[in-house]
Amino acid sequence: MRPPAARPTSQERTFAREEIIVSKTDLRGHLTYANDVFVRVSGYTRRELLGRPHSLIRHPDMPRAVFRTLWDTVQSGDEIFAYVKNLAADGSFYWVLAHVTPSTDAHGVPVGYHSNRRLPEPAAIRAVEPVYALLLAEEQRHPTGNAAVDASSALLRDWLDERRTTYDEWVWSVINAHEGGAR
Amino acid sequence: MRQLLRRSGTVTVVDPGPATSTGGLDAIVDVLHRAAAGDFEARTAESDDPALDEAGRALNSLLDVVDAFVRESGAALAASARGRFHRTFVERGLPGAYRDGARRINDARDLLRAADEAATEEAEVRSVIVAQAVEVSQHVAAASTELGASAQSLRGTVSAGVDELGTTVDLVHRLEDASTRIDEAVTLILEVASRTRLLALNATIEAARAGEHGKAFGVVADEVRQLSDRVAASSADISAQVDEAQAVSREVSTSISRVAALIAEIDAEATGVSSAAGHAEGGLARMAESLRADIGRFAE
Ligand SMILES: Cc1cc2nc3c(=O)[nH]c(=O)nc-3n(C[C@H](O)[C@H](O)[C@H](O)COP(=O)(O)O)c2cc1C
Repeated sequence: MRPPAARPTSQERTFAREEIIVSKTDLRGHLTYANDVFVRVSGYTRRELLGRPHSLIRHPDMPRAVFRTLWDTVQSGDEIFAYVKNLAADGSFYWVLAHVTPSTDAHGVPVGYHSNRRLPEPAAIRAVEPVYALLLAEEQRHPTGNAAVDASSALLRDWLDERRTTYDEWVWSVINAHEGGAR
Repeated sequence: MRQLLRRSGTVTVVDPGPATSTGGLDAIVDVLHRAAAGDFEARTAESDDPALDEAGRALNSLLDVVDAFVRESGAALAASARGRFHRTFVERGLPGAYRDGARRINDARDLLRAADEAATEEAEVRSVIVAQAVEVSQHVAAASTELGASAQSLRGTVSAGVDELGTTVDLVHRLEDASTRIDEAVTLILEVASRTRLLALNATIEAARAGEHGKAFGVVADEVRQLSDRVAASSADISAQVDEAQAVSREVSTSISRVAALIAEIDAEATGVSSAAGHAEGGLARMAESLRADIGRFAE
């Protein structure tokens, strides 16, 4: 039942501005729900998606530092916005502006995670891409995944420090500058 | 199965059930009940019955939007409340009333940010005013301390002046005594001169009666009379001058009394300035210092 890993192409997919792509995962990041838009845009069937790790749609152009930031943030109970390039079943890609939050029980214990994604503006993607490319290049200089993500996370921290900003402020500066139609 | 909105849009699920229930009307009803109770975790699964499948998909879409709105509205408001004004509500992707709600939250965030900016600006202005007031009160305290000190030293000078005046008054009194004694001496001289004149007159008469023998004596007696006339004349002159000297002394005395009165006034003024400016209760320096302390406490 496992679909073969897709080989990335330069084909882009998109979805409507008034749509949101929704998914829910368990605490390990395995999909427990995917909405119809997710199913349509990712190109997988719902059966292929449910129970699989979210990294199923991970695109090799995405730097690991972004996902580490994402997990660190949601695991400490906070929300995060991130521009993410995803890989569809047929190898095409689609960019999303993802909002990820934890779901917790009455005692504040996390029971899973939730994400809804909007269609980003091309200008916002153009602002984010060079930063991701920088981080990715740093990761490719390291042989092991752990060393790679440590190095690119340090680079991301330095890059933000140099600009006297935080990840949160930086991503919001991109959103507020380019997703103007959103307001 | 209640949901509570936690910080940053986290959604609390009480007694979470399976994320997707198996298709069928019962499942749809169950998800509806859970959603009505505020549990937005549940969704319906696909169904073989096309009508139920369509209903389930529509329900999931509804829940997806509500779930997203609840998470993001909570997070957006919490962000504004904490001054994270860069966190806006992205309106794209939300339909109809949800988008209106998002826009209203963004409007509220704009107002909160404007109020926050105004408050920050006000605080800045206030701190500038406080700094100025502290500086001014410091200057006033320093200037009044100096003024108090000057007034105090002026009092010292005045009292030295008063002592000096006392000495002058003594000198004038001694001058007056001396003139009085001169006057007495002159009176005595005048009396001696008048008696001498009388004696000389008698001697002249006696000399005339003695005839030729008294002639030389008569010349001497006449000389004595003329001498005593001149003594009397010059004594009267001295007496007039002594009178004048006494009149001048009296004037000097009066004028010294007037100067003493003026100096006493200056002393009273200097005393007033010294206590008004200085560190005594109600003194300007004391008030400026306590004002500065008050402003300092207010600014903390
Ligand atoms: C709710 C949620 C949504 C996620 N959405 C995506 C996604 O759209 N694309 C993606 O590549 N990773 C997503 N992730 C992150 C993945 O779990 C994973 O960390 C990432 O794909 C990197 O894979 P790796 O850790 O195997 O390198 C999501 C995680 C969570 C918790």
